[in-house]
Amino acid sequence: MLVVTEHEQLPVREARAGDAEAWNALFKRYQLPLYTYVFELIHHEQASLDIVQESFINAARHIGTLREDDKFGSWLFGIAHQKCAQHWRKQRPEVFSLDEHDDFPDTASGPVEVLISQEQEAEFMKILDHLTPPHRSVLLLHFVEDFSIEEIAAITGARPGTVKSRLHYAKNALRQLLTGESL
Amino acid sequence: MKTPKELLLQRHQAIEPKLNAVRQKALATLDRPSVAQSWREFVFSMRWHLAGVSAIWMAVLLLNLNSADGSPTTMARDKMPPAKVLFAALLENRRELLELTEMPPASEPAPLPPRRSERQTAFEMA
Repeated sequence: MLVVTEHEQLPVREARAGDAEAWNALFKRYQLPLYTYVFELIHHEQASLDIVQESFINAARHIGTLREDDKFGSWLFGIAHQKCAQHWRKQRPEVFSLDEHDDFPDTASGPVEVLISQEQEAEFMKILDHLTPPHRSVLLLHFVEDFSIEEIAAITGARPGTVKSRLHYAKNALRQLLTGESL
Repeated sequence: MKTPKELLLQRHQAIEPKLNAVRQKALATLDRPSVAQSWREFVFSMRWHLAGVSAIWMAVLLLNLNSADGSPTTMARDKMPPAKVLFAALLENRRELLELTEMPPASEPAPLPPRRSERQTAFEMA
């Protein structure tokens, strides 16, 4: 049985050829990160499970549209992101949109190593929940899969500059929490 | 201390059994061809029949076009005199009709023969 580890090359080529074992390995590799991303955006267990399943099925059906094999992860998250946006529009069209544009300045933020103590866990989740969906989406993609700015831009359909500013804003909010500064 | 990734993934660790079931369901659909795929396969299996039927229709169309060139309607249309000649013939025809209708009325009608009773009286008188 194929097992995918962090640094192992993904069996995307085999999956393209219709190898069920390869698909199993890919799905297994991404099922928890994808669910985490979807759940933290829409906060509904059954809907999140449905979106993960639909994303897997869509990925298997449309693998021919994937240009670069090493972009499989961001491509799969992109499919799930679209489904989250559809779900969001259906549930709360008047409140937020995942495609919301903001006018934050295009400020680059350097890599911030965030470590969370046990006492800060609840606060971290509270901060995450208080972010708007576009900011939460960017931060989750950055934390859960460590996607690059360009990959996050491709997943969310936002401009790289917008992604940078959202990430900067979200990280600032977290940094203030973790260093005990007032928001 | 945990990284945000560890914290987030750990938070949802309990859902793994359900995710395994979701994965199995998604894998089961891999064996099942989609509607588009089934349709493609059906058309592909019928390709020779479709090619034959198309060839027949093409032949029918070509024959129809060829015969349309020699049909009586087409030939009659080709032999038709030009519009000027037709118009002149029509004028001539009208003129002849007018001539016929404008003929002078006949002169005094011929006298009718005498009645039989009158002829009998004249004979008796003689």
